[in-house]
Amino acid sequence: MGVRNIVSASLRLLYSLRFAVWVLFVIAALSVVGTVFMPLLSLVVPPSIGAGSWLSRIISLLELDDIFHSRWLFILGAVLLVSLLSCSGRRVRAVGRIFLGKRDRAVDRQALSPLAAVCIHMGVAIIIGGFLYGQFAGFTGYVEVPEGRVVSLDSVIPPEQGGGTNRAVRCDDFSVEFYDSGIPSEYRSAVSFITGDKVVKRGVLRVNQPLIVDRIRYYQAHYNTLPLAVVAVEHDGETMTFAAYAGDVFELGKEAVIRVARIEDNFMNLGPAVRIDFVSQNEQGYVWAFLQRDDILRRFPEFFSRFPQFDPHRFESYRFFFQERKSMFATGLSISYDPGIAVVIVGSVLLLVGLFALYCVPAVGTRLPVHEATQGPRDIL
Amino acid sequence: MNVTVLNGVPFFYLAAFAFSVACGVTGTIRLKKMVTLCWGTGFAFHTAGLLYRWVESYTLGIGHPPLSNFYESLVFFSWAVVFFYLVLGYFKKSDPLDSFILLAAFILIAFASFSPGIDSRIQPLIPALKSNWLISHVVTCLLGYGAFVIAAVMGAFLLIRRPDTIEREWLLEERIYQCMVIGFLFFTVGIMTGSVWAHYAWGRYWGWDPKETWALITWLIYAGTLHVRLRRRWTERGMAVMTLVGLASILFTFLGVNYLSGLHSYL
Repeated sequence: MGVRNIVSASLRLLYSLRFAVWVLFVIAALSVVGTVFMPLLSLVVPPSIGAGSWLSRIISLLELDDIFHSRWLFILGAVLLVSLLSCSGRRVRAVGRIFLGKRDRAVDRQALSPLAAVCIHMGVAIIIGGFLYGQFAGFTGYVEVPEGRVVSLDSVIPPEQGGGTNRAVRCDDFSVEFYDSGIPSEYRSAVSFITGDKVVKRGVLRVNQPLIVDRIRYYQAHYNTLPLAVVAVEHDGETMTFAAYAGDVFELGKEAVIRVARIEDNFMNLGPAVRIDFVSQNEQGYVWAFLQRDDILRRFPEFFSRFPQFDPHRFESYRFFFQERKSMFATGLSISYDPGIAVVIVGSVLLLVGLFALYCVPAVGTRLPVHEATQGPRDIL
Repeated sequence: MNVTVLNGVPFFYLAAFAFSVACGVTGTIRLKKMVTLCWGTGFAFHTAGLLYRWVESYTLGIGHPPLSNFYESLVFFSWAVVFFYLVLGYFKKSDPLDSFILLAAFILIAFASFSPGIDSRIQPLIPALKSNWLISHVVTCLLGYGAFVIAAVMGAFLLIRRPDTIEREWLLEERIYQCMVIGFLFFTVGIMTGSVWAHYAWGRYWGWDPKETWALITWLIYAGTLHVRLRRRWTERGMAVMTLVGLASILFTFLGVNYLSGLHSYL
């Protein structure tokens, strides 16, 4: 068999109906495996057996644990794409022959039908293309912004989309309303988008109402409550007060730095406490500051002196006190950029137009050859 | 009040089915009028119940179409089945086999009305469902499901009781095809409107969520079946089998995915 024959046979296979149907059903079967088989397997196989076993290695090798991002689906999608394009090419030639008069244009609907099928196939092909383009050229991300705080977007936005240019988002205000049943009825965030030191856009984000800033879409996705600790630091007769979320870092003049490492609601059954990491030129360590300090002293008079990590006087000339614990909202924002959307929209419109043209446009009529006759009987249609 | 009205509807559909079976067995013409009277009254109450539920949601200060929870979607699903029974004019043919369509509608609304685990109260919308896309997405999807259910019922007839003549078999197959095409069109629009909504709500139009994936599986099954029909070697029975495979996929898309973790779990 020559190369020409092989190419010809491959093309015939690609635009054959049987092959296209098999591809559709195999994609469906693979999707069933991805949604049902793997969750069922994880229920049946205990994690202790599954982890590192031959079964997990096979699953990982075959990429069955994430079928929807596997090579299997990618290859099948590519095969479907080629099949759709080759089938469309064949149909375009058929339509061309009809309109060029090389084939009998007997019934109008028959002339429309291959064109509609081309629309449908091209629509699906364009949707797949747009989806893949969006996957490769776009990105998605998520940030949680505590109320009143600024969070950098440089780690979320890739450099090719403008990341690393000191972009940040600030949550100016967050509010949530509840129904009587306790279910949230609406939540919204007033946000400011900052580039460098400049606010480039302000707006309100609600669920179903995203904001677009520099082609990047921001969505109100979730919300959370975060503990906020008001910490007082006494040093040389002066008191400095900080409102801190876990992880916040503060400089105490030029001599020392503190980091609020943890905020606990009930530490060792002694009530709310905050762990403060301390670094200075001479000392380094941590101390726990308790909100109910007086109460603890009454119950355990030697508690703070016996355990240095709980002693507010642990570090020379610095005293730490936990003054107030607050709950603050943090808004959860989804961030996405998908340049393939316009392509997908074009494909969707084409698919719909094709479907309605194929199935909803009634047959216009049948063209019958009529010859003028001067003699003989007349047919009345 | 709306629940009281809707709870009465299954009895009308069941009565219509019973009269239809009796009519088929005895051949009494008068019973045909009873069939029409029963399903017609049932459908009127069904429609009124849905509309009244919508109005009642506004009086409760919630104000949303009755399409937001499992009970409401089951009731609308059943309505969609009877709607196509009416629109496609099957009731005129007085074919006792078609009355099984009413049995399917009965099962759906009876499941909604009498299952102890299904909450029939009007519930407020969570923020993600507060969108105008709710109506277009849910209505188109459920209308698609309704047409597919009718196709599956007729497919089951074809498999269980082969028609007497080849013409009747072709006619039945043509009707199955008609319902599949209608369902496919509505379902395609439903998936597209859902994608647009997901794009606005979640920041992506496709996320391989179990519901989305199963909607795609259903779409692929029907797309494949419509293609296979183009092959002349495809028998009417093969088409009938595919309607049942499609029905299984719809039921999993509608019910089964609620047991998988995902954004569409509303049970």
